Amino acid sequence: MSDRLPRHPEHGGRLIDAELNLLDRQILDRDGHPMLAVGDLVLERDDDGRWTIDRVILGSGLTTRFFGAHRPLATRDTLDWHVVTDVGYVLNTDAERDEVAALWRERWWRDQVISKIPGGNHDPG
Amino acid sequence: MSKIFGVALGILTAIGGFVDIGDLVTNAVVGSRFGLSLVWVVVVGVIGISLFAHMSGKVTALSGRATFDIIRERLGPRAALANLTGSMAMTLLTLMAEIGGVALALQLLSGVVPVAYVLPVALLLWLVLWRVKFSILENVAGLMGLLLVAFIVALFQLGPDWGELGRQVVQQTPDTGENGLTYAFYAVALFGAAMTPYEVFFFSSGAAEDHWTKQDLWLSRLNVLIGFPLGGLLSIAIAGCAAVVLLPAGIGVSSLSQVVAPVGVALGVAGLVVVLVGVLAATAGAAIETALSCAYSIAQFAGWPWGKRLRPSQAPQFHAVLLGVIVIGCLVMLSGIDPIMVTEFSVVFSAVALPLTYFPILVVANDPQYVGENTNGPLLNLVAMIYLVIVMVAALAAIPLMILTNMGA
Repeated sequence: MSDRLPRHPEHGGRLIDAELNLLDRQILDRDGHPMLAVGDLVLERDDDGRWTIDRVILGSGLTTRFFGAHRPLATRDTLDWHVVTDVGYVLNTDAERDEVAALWRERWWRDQVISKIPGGNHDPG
Repeated sequence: MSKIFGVALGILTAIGGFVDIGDLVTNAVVGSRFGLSLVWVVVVGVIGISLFAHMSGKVTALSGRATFDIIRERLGPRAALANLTGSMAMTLLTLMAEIGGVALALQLLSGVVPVAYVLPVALLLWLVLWRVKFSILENVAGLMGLLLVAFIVALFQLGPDWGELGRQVVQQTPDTGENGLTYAFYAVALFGAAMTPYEVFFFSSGAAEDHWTKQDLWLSRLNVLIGFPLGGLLSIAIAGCAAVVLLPAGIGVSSLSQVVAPVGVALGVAGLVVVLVGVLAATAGAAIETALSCAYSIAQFAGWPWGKRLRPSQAPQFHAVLLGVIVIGCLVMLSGIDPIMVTEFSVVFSAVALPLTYFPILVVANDPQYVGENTNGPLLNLVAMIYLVIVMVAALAAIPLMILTNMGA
């Protein structure tokens, strides 16, 4: 089994099992607030023939699946892998919340509904 | 002071969660039909909920991850969605029952028909969840729910034949006139009422709301060791009161007034008012917990920001769900459906939803990536695995027993 696993990089780095340690994990923005979960990964092959993670697909896409469709990659919400700063039991990123296109639903609920109810922008308590 | 507030989290979860409309009704029904012969189920349930609440509290305190976050991650989105659907249907059913319970308690205090109270209660519930700080929510409801201690006082005041009650406790079989299947059905219902999954959702999410860290693990243990047994003791007292007053008189429990009647017999009108305020607080507390649990779980599953510690505009979808479940609960109860019947359904379905919730918690409580060196010891794991077997048996038996006994009729 061990000879099938890629070797650790010579300097630093660690081995991460994508299925075990990445898929369905929570993603956090730069302030530590939750920002959807990892639905899938978009891999790219570089010139040396090595696979690297290019983007993270946000959300499970279960709703479209449920209705019998498979959304093409181009329409899925993704996040560039280079914003990921740490992989632990969550994915820490330095993404600025308001700049993440995938969170448009959250912004819609915030701007159209919750902010319009009196007290919606008050601190708790 | 914050330490004392922390302990109140346990007491609220115990009173509002352990003793909610489900426990009030189920324990009274069981007491009036089987005496104290099902007390062992309450004991088994208290130990079970303590184990798993402690584990989920530990995972949250050490990793900041709440229960449904972990369920999604461990079961994958599809199985987790199935679990979410089941547990949310159940929790929503419980929320409806609690709103109904608040309305029933108000009816008994005022004489006005309960359906008239549904809309104001739901509106107040939403206002409180929208504006009031989490720590105040848990403390006020927790402290007022303590008035249910009136059931214990009443039991002593009734001066029962303790020898007879003791005989019922060790008897552990139905008396003649009741059949074994009905006994088994109520055992499962009582177990479901004691181990309702929403208590774990609320306990772990509440730990995150209170910003628990590793230093607060003792708090989790204290909450679980004081809070849940206290809730269990109240449950037994409710069954005891029914066993002493209603069982010999051959009165079955089909309304809230019959649940509290023994307290009236023992302590008079003043006692009745105290216990009704206690019922009001416990059901209102549980309504808060169940509504929050729905919103917590859905937000954690989807990966949205959640919690009362954020501004509503920082967790907009969380608050939208909160509003949505209260509206649904309110509309269903406005139809005039009997809250006691909703309650009886909710505790049985609770038993069905148990395994999928408790299994992932046990797995993650053993994962060093989450809890570092604080993984479960071998003894805790052994007991927890025995509980998983019990929970599986209860889940599989619940629906067949419900059909075979026609809801215990």
